[in-house]
Amino acid sequence: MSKVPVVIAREFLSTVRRRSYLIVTIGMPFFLGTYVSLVGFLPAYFMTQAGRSQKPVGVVDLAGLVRLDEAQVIGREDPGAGQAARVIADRLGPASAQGRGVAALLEEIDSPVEFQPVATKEEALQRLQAGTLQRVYLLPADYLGTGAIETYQADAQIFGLGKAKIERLFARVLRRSLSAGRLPDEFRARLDRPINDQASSSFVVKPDGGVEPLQDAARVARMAVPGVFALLLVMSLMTSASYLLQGVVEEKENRVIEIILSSVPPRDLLFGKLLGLGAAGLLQLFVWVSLASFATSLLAAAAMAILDWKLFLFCFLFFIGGFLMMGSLMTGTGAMGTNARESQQFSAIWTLCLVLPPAMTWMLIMDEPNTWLARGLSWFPLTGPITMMIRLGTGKVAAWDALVALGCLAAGVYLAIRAAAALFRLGLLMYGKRPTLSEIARQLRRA
Amino acid sequence: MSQEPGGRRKAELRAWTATGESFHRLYNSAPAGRRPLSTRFLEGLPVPLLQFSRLRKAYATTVAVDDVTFEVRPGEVFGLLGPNGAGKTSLLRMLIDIMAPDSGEILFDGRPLGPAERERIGYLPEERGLYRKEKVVDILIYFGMLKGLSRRAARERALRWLDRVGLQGVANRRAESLSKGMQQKVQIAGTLLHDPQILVMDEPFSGLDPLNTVLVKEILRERREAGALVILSTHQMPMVEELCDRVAMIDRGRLVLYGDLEEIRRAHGGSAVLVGTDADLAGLPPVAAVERQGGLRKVWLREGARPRDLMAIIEERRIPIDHFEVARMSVEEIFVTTVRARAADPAAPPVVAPAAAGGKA
Repeated sequence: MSKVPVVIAREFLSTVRRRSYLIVTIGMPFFLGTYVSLVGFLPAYFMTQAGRSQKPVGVVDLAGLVRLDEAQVIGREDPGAGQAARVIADRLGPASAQGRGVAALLEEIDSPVEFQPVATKEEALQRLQAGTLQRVYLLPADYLGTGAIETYQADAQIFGLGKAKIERLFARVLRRSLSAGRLPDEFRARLDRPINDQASSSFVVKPDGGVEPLQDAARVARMAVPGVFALLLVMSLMTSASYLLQGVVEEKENRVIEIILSSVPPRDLLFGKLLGLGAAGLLQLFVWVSLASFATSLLAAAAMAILDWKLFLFCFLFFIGGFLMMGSLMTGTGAMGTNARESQQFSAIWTLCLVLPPAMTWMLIMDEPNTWLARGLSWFPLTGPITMMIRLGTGKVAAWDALVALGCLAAGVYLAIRAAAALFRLGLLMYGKRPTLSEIARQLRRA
Repeated sequence: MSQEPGGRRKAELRAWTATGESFHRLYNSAPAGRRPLSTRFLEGLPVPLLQFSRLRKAYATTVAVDDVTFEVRPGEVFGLLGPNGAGKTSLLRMLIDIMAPDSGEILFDGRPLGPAERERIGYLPEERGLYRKEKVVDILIYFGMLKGLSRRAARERALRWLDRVGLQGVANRRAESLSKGMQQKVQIAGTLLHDPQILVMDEPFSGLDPLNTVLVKEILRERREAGALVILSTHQMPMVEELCDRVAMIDRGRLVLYGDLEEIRRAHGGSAVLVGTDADLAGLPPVAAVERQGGLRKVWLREGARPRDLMAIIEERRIPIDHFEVARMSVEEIFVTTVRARAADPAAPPVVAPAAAGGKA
């Protein structure tokens, strides 16, 4: 009979009953809250920077009333206004509603958006495809009556950075254009509400030139599912790894390991520890995620699962594969250390292997998810899980591509567990001394 | 030569066994058509429970176990001896399947050692410990469940064994609160929980006071009486003398001594004599050295000389004596002599005493 369930139960229960586990589980959300707010500041900063270097926005004016020179005026209308606004913003404080309003005004002054007139819709769409425009607004001939506009964006733009700001600016341009001409009385209401959101529509221009209605919610959810899984993978590895190493080092230092190995083969012991301590780590993560109000993301992910079960399934499989592979490698190499600190240092290498390459290339991958760089990183088992989660979020990965990555990951898991079990066996029986490289190589050859 | 039916075959079998090969194994490995029709001649001969066959295990720079072959039988206490670093622990780890041999095999009841067989082994390693922060009973339940017991059975047996080793009332105490000796007894209880058919104990007496040493000896004898095979690895030679039926001695990875302990002692006897006399015996021709041993003199004989040669000279020269006894070497002396002889001639073949059946009373 397999001893894996016995090991799983023991490892899980002995871990979750520890006082230190309970303290960390309850105390971490407070720490995490602070950390997330700090880390959240940086992407916000970079998004602002990205807004400053955006491409022009095209305007196709079939209604014949937009005065684009007004857009330049908005930024220059009063050179002293910016200075005054800064003083006011400082006095109001950034947290107040007025302060935020003034800050938004400042942002518009500091980073004006360039609007360019385009004669026809076809030309605008071609330029959008060519990447010389970031977005196109089309005012139909009946705009004055309906307030409806059409917005076009390229498919590669996942979220459309600075979209709200551009729309706000365009609304101001429209308002100024409307007020500059002689507006018939029946259209006066347009001044208050230059864009009728209900009547307006947004479209995505596909790389093949096709045009599809934009479904923002679905796009966000499509990114959210892999995003949540990637976050879960990294966090669960970080939390479980410490328990895995603690468990291994404790058994090694207490000299219990030889008794245990006389009853359980190293591979079963490794697997049992991985699942038992992984479950303890996931339970802790679940508590943190719930307490930190990330539950909504999970609910969104669950909702998305109903919408796109294939995406959810792929993400789940990459999560499990990634956890098993990295966890076993961490435990295997962790067993080689002569003490807890050394074990942690050895195992940290794997976290870096998992996270670093995708972290350095994620923007490239999101822009172009089907390059050979993206594929290479996806098919290489160590970087595959996170890279594939990034790629899957773009919705542009072919099924065969994901299956190849999954196959490579499965092979990686198999080899990792075999190699880790061999290292585990070798490392666990060496008390107070490290195995030599030739011993490690010999053991790995046997595995 | 024996005239009893099958006596010659038995003699051959003993010869094979003495060289480390098991007849049972040879018999079983022979093609069916070439086996003798009757196996009656095997009756009365002990069937080995464990067979170590041509085992070899090398590490990066050293050969820990080098072509070691011997077998162990049910119902005996088998001593595994050897100086530090001789390869005993490697041998035991291969038996427990913690490490794989580079070559050779270990057979359990004639079959290769597998997971089912492993559950019938209880192992007390030399490097041992307990989960310090956990309750004694929880640790024992875990050990029991790893050996295939249900939680309930493991708990019942844990409490029973704690009682047997004199640790009533510690079940719910954390392991770290126990003394070293008490922890040692908990570990011994953990080894015995699943009623193993083979008990492998590496230095089971270290850290025990005399009272607890007696207790553990009693338990080992009980297990032997119950038909279990006990493999005892220890440096405490008086324990070997007291408990073991047969021994194997390993030095620098090689088998140097193997067989029935009594036979080995007999084989090593005759090289010294205890004589009660005041006369100076040092100058007599067969004498190599003389040393005092209590009120007697221990006379070491030269190689090739026998006790009766000394007796003849004593009679011839009318040397007054009041005691003459062929000295039996202690296991410790045999141990030291063998290791030294091995150091002088590393290529010497192992000393194999004829393997006698049965155990000690």
